[in-house]
Amino acid sequence: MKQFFLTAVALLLPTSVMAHVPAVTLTAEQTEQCVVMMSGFPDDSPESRYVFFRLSQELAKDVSPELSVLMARYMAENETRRLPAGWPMIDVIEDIADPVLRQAAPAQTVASMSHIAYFDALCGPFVQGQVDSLLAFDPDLADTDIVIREDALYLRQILSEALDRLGGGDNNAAQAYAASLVTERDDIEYVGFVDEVDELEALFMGDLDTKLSRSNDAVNESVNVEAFQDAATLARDMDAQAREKAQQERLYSLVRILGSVG
Amino acid sequence: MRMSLIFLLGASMLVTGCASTATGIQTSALGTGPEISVQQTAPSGTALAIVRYPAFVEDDAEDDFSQAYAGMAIGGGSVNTDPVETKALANSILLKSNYFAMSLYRELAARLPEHSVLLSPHKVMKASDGTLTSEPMTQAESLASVVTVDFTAYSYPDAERMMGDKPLSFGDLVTPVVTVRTDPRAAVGTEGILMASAPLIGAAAGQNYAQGITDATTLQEGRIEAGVPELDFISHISGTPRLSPASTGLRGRAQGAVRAYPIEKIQLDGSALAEMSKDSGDILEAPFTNGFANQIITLINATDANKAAMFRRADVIADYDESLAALTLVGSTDPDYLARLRYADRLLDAEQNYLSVQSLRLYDGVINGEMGAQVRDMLKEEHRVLERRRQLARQQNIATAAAFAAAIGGVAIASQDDNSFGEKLAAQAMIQGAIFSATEAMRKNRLSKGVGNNYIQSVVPALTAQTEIQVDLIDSSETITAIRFEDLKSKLGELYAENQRALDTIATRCTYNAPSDPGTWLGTCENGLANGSGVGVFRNANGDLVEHYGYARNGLADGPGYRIVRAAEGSYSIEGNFSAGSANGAVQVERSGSVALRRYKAGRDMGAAPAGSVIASPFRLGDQTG
Repeated sequence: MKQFFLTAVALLLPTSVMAHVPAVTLTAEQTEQCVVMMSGFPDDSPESRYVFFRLSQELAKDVSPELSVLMARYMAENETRRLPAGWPMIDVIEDIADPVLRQAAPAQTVASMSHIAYFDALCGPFVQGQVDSLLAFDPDLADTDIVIREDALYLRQILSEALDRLGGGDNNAAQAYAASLVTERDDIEYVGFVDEVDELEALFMGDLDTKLSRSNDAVNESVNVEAFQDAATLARDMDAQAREKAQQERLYSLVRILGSVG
Repeated sequence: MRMSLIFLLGASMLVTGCASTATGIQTSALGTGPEISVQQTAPSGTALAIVRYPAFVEDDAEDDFSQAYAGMAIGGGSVNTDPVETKALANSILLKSNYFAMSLYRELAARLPEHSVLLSPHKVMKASDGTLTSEPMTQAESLASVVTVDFTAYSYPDAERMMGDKPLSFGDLVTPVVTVRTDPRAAVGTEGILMASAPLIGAAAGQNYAQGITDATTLQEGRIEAGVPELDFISHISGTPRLSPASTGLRGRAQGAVRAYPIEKIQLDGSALAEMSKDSGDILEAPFTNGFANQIITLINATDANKAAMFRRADVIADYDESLAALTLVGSTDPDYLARLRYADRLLDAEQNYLSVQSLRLYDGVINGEMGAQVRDMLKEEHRVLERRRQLARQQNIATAAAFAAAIGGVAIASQDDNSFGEKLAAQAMIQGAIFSATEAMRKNRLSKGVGNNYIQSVVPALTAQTEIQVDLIDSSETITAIRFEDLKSKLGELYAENQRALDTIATRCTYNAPSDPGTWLGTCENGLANGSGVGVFRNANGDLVEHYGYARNGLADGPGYRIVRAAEGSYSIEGNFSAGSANGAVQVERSGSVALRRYKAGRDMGAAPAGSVIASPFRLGDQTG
């Protein structure tokens, strides 16, 4: 399995993308651990793999060191809730979303989210590598980002509620985390707004461009090309007449002057 | 007999004179050189440049336009010309301006970021009070812009004299008459005029000053409405009251001074003009547009984009959200405000992108359409006519020189008393030859003038009629875009309303207690008094309108502020710290011809501020106190 992931990363990740992946030195044991944790991720399609990798990234957002300490406090009070280091991520995520666990065991939710933060801190470069390689394979995968962010926000709100139920709601780190959820909600709504504006803009700009283009064509058809040519010809004729008249005057002057000499 | 001959010859020479050949300069005083790149970043929904030009004159304004044009000739001298010819010349200005303004648009659009350059054709018309004015035909100027550029391809309004040393746009000659302005709040010492053709400086500054007064008056009534000034060329010919801000040369670096651009006739490459097509290069680029674009970009880089854009942006934002508009003048770090502003900014961007498409299609219609082809044909024909005139002028000069030589020789021989009969015959023949040469010179002079006049009388009216069709494009665009643009704004407004959360602090209207006059404050208010950020307007003890952008406490200016005083002799600004309604501490004072650091105490100038004094600004977030 380890070999599979490393090969997948090496094969799918473009050189330019790899250059941007932060260089993190992992021990062989840590690498093995990351591979095990990612083992349960779906591999039936690029879409589902992308969703899970991105979801794990989004779930770990805004977990500050202070919040990690707070979460560890609740886990320490009940050691059985601590997850094994190599617990598959897919199970962790499903646990958070499980409505029964959510209601009955908020400490379990805290433990699960803590595990995700741990996973992100440990295996972030692996995950980013997977995300980049999948995007290089199909850039349209990014279209699902907003849905992933909404799902992640829902799960993160579960953590915030769990901390509140466990009595940590007044803690500064928990409040900062709750505030970050509001910001995230704003950002998601803004993205939705921008998408709608983009659509409206594209519709109106396309419509305008088509109409102006037609208008230009109509004007071009209306322009009387011959009118200008006729006017230019008339000007030339007038010039020619003036020259002819001048020539006659010239001859007349010459005759008159020569006549006066005689 | 001898004396009468000499008199006749003298009169002939006087009439024919030495014919001018209507030439121009190969490269503008604006200079050439490597392209200057833009360093400026405009706020959202703000163009970097809008190119304005006269495109059309309404029927009932035609006579007024041509009379005003003839009555305020650039190039000096009295104008005595046929009204029909003047009208044709006036119309030729519109034709040429329409065409050559595209050169500037193309150059700027290529060198500035996408969607940051817009076109604004103007129609010349009569205002409600009967005076001559111009109005934009599209909505481009509803958006803020760091600078606007007026472009007119000018010709002297006397067909008889324009082929001499007078300004001319004909054939391979183009006389650009331009102004580069910013918002009257961004360069107060020059009333917003950054650069202008020398004869236009007074009218442009006078008009921007008047616009500043109008905007401030509207503000005092509680509305943020940024008016659109008419074209400076129209202000010039219609006799708008002048102001005379300090001016400097094109390379001048004097602060608070307008860069004066001399009137110059640019001579295009004749062979390139003869081969010109829609796909060929821009013949105005090398001799003029490239250097002018460099000047414009230099001015954009040197302009405070925030001050240039703030008022008109607030005007546009007010269409969507009045309670936000006045807060955007100096900004805020409040998260609710920032969240709302982000939405509003996106709407402004959408408007800008939409109008940018309109400009691109206008350009396409002018340059790539039949009308563009006809204008190019016209320029080629004019060039041929001009070359013919130049040839005739040269011939006239030769004839005149021959007449002089013959006359002087004949008179010299005839004046000797001891001449033989043969010498007397030779003298008589030379004098008669001189008469013929002089007659010939006069004839060529008439013929030369006739060539240009014939062209103007036949071709320009024909093309002017077709200008109507060209204008149809813009008019139909206007109809399309006016309806669609309003529709777009309406839909954007609905989207905005659906997505907004409440603002804790909103802008309203309340009292601003100026020292001498209860003024109006648009911004944050408490208990009916200015309290927080916004803009205040009042009249000072001299009766001058004063705008104050910044912060207030208990109805008085307090904290960083930017105060503009619209004094009768010209505007000036004070930027720095204020307390209890008056400037207090180190401030920057800008007035015509100078930008200086001064030290104020309770509103009184106490002398120069020490070098290196830090000036508080309401536009720097770090300086905010509200």
